[in-house]
Amino acid sequence: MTFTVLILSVLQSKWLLYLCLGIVLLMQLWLLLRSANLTKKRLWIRVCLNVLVWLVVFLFVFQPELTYTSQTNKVILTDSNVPKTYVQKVKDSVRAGEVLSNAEFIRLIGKNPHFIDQLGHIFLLGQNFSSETLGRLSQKNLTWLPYFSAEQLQDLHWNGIVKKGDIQEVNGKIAVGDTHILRLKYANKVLDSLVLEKGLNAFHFSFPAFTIGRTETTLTLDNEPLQHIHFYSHTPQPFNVLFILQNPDFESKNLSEWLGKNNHRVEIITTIAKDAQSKVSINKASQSKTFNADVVITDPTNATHALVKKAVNEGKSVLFINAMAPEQDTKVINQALGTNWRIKRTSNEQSVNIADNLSALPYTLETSLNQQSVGTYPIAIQKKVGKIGLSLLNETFPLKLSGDSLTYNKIWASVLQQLSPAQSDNVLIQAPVFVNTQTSVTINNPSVTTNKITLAGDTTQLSQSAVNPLSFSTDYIFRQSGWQTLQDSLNIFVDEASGGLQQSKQIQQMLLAHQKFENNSSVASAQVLTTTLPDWLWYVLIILGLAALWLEPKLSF
Amino acid sequence: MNQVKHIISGVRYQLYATALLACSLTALSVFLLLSVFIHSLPLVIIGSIIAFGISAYYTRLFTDKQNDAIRLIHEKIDDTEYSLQLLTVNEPNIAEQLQLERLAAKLSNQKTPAVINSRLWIPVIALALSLGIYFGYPLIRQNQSANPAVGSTTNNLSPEELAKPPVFSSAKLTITPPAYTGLPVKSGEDLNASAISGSTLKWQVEFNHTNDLALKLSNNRGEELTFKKTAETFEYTDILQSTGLYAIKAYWRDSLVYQSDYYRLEAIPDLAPKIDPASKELYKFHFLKDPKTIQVSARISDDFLVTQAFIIATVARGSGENVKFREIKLPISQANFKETTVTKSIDLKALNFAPGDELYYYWGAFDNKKPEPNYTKSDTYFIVYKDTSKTEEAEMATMAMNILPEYFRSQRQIIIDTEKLIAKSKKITQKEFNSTSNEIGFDQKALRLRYGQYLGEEFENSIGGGNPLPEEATGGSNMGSDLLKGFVHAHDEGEHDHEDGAKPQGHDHDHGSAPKGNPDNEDPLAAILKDYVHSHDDGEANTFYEQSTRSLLKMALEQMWQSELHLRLYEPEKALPFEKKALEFLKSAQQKARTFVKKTSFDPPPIKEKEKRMTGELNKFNEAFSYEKSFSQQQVERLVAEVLGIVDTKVDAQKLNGIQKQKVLMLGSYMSSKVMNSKLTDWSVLSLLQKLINDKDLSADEKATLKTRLYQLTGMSVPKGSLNTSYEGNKKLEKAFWKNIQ
Repeated sequence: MTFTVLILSVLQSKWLLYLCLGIVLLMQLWLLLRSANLTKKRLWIRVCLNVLVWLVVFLFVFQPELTYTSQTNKVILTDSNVPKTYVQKVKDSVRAGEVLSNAEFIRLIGKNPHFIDQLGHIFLLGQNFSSETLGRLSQKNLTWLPYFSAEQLQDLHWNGIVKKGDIQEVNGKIAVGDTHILRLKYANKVLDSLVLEKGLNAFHFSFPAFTIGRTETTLTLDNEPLQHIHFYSHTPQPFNVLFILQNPDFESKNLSEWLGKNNHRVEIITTIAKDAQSKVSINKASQSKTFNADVVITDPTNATHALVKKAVNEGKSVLFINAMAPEQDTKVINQALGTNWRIKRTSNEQSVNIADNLSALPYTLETSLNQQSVGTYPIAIQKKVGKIGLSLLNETFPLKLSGDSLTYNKIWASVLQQLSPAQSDNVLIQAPVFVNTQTSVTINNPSVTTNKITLAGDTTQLSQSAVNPLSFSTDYIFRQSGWQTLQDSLNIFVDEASGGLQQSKQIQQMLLAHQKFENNSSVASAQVLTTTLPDWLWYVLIILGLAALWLEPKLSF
Repeated sequence: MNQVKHIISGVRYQLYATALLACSLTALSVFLLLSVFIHSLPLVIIGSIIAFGISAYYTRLFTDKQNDAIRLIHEKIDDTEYSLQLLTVNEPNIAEQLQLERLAAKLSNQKTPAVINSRLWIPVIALALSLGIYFGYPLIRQNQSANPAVGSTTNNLSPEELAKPPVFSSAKLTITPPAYTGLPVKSGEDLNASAISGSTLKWQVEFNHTNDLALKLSNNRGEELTFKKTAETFEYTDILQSTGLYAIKAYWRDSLVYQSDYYRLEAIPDLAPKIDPASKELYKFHFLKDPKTIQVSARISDDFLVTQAFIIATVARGSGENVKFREIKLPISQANFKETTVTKSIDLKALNFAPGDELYYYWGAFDNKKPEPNYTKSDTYFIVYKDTSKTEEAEMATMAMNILPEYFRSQRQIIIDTEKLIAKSKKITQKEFNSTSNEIGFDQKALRLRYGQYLGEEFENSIGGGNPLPEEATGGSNMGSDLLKGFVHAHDEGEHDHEDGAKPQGHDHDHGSAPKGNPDNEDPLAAILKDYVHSHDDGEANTFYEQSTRSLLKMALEQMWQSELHLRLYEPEKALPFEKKALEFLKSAQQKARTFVKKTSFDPPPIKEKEKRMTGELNKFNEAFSYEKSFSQQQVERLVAEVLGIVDTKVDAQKLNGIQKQKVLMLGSYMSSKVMNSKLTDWSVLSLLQKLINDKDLSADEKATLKTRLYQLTGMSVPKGSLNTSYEGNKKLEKAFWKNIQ
């Protein structure tokens, strides 16, 4: 063992090389002196040339270092992809004393392990740094200056796991040198697009998740694929919707059927006479006996109803439809549920037409901090512990009767989208997820509390959030690319580590971790640095020497 | 010397090559022979290697051929003098050297002799024989085996293979169009059929064995038809009648072992003949002077043959209830043509076509479709024999229309005229402008007068000033009568003399106080209007309008005065506001004059809803009034979403699992019924789905097509709005936050 180590160390050290070079020199001289048919003068010239070439090769191996003094108060560490002009520009603007490349830095560290202590503020320019370099920079004052070339994604985020029907958002930044069109495509279908102007552009694409299962969309720049966007879309949980009605009416009947056809469970409680109620269940789950409403839809007169109050307190959602006299109705709701609805009459007419076959009460909802309106319709949602919605639409079923089911869908889908209370088992993973890069996985409101999670054939520990006891998270590093399993039915796509996005993410994480240990004390002084000749110079010298050797016998003088 | 050595080595290599060739040929023949009888490849190869070894031993392939070569050269070339052996001598003496030099000199011009072993024919013939056996033996065997047993393919299979499910090998579809079409019979591997309806389709499907196999033809609704098993093929014959989709399914011992893609059946209908008459005029008059024969022509064509064409002509005579019809069929001589132009002359005399009669005719044609031919008829053409002896009422009716007044100046018209004048003021000369303005002023005046008389105002000529009307207008009668000429029922023009006496009968009101006998002094217009207006000699006191209406009218007149003033001063711009004001007053006066009577009916007292509602008796009421419903209808959107997920999940060369396959199948059957209704436009999607079901890989393009087409079915109508991230926070914190934010 010791012997092998010894041999290895001998092989790794340059002494063996020097020895070989010495032998080469001796052989050269011996061969030269043996060839007798040369004049003395030529012999000397040839010997000189040989020795010269040998010397150049020797020096190349030896790598002589030049010593100079420089300010190391501010040092720029560049990645090799950053163009020289940009480096110079940054150097001038931060007034850095020295610019070191990644390789040079490693060499200097190798020479002098304490070299790093003498550096002041370090600027990292670009993102392609080896982990060795980054590892050395602990306890240093760091500033990261990312560098991306044009038409390269600088930043990109989307949700790794969504529910069908949820809005998937793709955000990012890209700098372009010319006007381009950035498209988000599903196969040949453009889901969203943006015209990019010259310069840095931030883009924000969104579309409702329309699949169930693995989904691949592509971000293209002028039809050239830029980045594949993989996400997993899982089956939405159906809502339990409870209708509490004073009297049966056609609007709520239609709405309940629409909900039923959209796979939600509906229960309608209608008072049809004194002490008599009718109860209709749609899509009733066969096993469950209790019906825990996620959304309660009712008339404003029912604002004081026990079920409504209970739902609001439990953080469920309530929607008031069929308002007849909004002024009194809002008063009743505000009193009962602690909301702050304020409305303003806009017209003296009985109702105002919003669109064909769609009319609303002649009021507008005044804005409020915790209030959000639904589309352009006179419907708004106020956030309390639960969500409380108020619709000033008269009737929507005429839309459906007249055949405009699209608008009908649009109205109620957007209402439901905003009303939907938080569901259980939310998995939050911000994509892209890269191989060998730390990824945060958050599970919110799990239906079964556990401290473990299985992912990619592995198990990892979950830790509970200190602020939100319903949130659990873990940091995991995926080691394999492609679709990886998460729990029993979910998938997450792990991207191959390639390109600037992954590197910049790694650096970001490093810097975040680094902040905790940052040490501001630094030796701000001039120090002696060494440098070596660039490789190309050696190359030129050796070529020149060899050329001289080749030319010399051809010249006759 | 070199030449000598060269020759020797050349011959030596020839010897080696010959030996090697012989060995290889032998080995090959043995290989072929063995492979006919032995089915294991290693054994055959070992056998041929052994044969190679043996022949190598006999041909001495691996021994030194130097001596043989020298011997052969000695035989072939005479000048060698059997002294080539000297070359191998290590240290030749002088004699030997001399001999060698001589040899070199002699052989310097000699070429390398060709030495081919005469026994090379043996392996060549052996190879030819074994080739014959290799190819001939299976043929002989086949003939032998064909005789005793039926079903060679089955016989070729081992019992183990018979125990495995049969594998589809080929399918053939023969389309025989109906005989009358004269189209050729088509036959091929393409199972998509597109043929004239009524064609006979014959499917022939082959499997590698047919034990326990049942083959069904299935349509998209899952209805199945059984194939007939004939010997080793399955056959099914049917007549193509309508468009649809089908697949072939094979059941082996009650399990589905094969399902083909969906194929298209397209029944192209045999179209009815097409008749294109030359004349586009459907309705024609025939006059007395016109020729009595009519030439009609039409272009008749069919996709196959027209068997018969004719004209049906009907003559109608008489009018009112007494109309008689006569129908005649005029056959056309041409028959059994594909396309031709037919000309026919209709002899009207023969039809006994008389003035007042009408002739209707149309073209008809039959094609050669069997059993029921297609029939087409053209539009019906009308020829009406003009009866000049009758005058038509319609002509007289139009005569009365021309008496309408050409123009009636209303206040609105005056405004329009003024605006027009202002608009074109730049283009016309000053003189023209002024005169037009003046004319409008006159119109305004006339209108003012017309309204003025309703208020009992004095007429123009009764005022002291000169006659404002143009001279010609005041000629015989006066302006007022001129103005109203078009509107009054002036029966008795020129009977002004009796006017006072001849009052309409219906008006028994006595205008006794009207001044009589002074025709000069009497307002002539008032005289005319006397019968219509209720003016009790005093304009101010008439009861026509209530006070407010009168004042409105008066205000209108005032505006008119102003407007006229400005018009006369050639300032139409200034006149315009007055004109408009006048119009406004006039309109409101009109409105005022109308009377609205409110309908009186029973007005019930309001119902107190809260008190009344739900107060009925509830004796016979089921208290547990509850029912359930569930929507079990296919939720296509969800299915499409799931299939989209499956498309992205499927990795090449990986089979779908049962659930996934089930989902794709469900979507496939839904889509196929849709395809049926949408006339095969979504065809590609269906075949791609079928490919998925059959575990075939989709190419990148196919995947993109499928995804794009299916995306359209997702029906995502969720609007882009705020994010709806589902996230549950700490309840207490949340409560506190929302409480404090207001």
